[in-house]
Amino acid sequence: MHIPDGFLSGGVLGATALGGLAVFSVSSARLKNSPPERIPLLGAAAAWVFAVQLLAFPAPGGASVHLNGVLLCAALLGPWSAALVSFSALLLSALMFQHGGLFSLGANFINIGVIQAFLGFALWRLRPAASSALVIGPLLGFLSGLACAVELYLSGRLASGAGFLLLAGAQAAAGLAEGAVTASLLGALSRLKPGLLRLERV
Amino acid sequence: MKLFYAVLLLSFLAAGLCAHGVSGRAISGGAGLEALYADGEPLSFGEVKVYAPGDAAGPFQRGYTDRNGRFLFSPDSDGRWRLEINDGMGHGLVREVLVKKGAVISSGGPAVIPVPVKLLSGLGVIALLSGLWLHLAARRRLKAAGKA
Repeated sequence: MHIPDGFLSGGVLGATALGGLAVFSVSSARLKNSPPERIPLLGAAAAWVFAVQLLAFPAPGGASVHLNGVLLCAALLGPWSAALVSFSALLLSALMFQHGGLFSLGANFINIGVIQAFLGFALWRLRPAASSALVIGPLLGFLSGLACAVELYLSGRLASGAGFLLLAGAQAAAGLAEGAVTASLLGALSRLKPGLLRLERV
Repeated sequence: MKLFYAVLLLSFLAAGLCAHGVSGRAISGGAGLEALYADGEPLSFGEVKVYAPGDAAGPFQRGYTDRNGRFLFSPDSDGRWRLEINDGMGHGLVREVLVKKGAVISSGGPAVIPVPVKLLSGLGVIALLSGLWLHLAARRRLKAAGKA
């Protein structure tokens, strides 16, 4: 779901860049004066998001999907923190390895960071239990895949119908794995480090 | 004379029948790309569009990568050929292949970096940036404490 440069039309690039920039600006402002105790946690969260996005799973048709790691960050640290962490990981991937484009960073940030951080956190708050991630994960995967499909469709890169279903369905399947990993990590943290589940969620 | 016309008619018919025949010959070489995911897995059966130099209107060729993520085509002119590979999942790449005097000069792509190297270098940069941020935040707190 890391859209490379050259895939999206100018209009889609502009709209997603503006949206992504707005979320990035607000999240930076909110986290600017974070206490020093919180910064290593944000760094660890960025490392987690960066690392899991490198691990891909085969999807039907020879394609590949990967975990995003944002749901865990949103549940532990809050939506603005998860969004900023996701942006950092995406920027790093694009700059260092051309994994996702620089011009399409806004689109990738919205698909992976913004949707998963804010919607994930909103759904998590409804029932903050580890098992909730099993349901939230596939739903977030589906919605992220759908957003990606819409952007590709609007840019003339994806035929409607089967392409939409294939992309969103594959991301929902990846979301199942994401939900399972998140649920097991949250379960383990609640036993081993319960304090991490009581952090201020920004 | 009748025999002559009959032979002539038959030869026309035979030529007509042969007009739709297809012959083939093996060719070698060409230009192309190997598309790999970030973890080194090949981008198999991805959709490929090839655009000729200076002709962005429509693709010169369409096709798919093979199971090893490779795609080859035969450029018919010199210049920068643009290849777009799309796996239909939002992943893909756009690369230029430079062809000069019929030979491929460069594919313009980055070197393939092993995942452990990517992981270590990325985590190193994140640790560096987090440490820098932590240093600045701690200094700000110390200053504030000093003023108080």
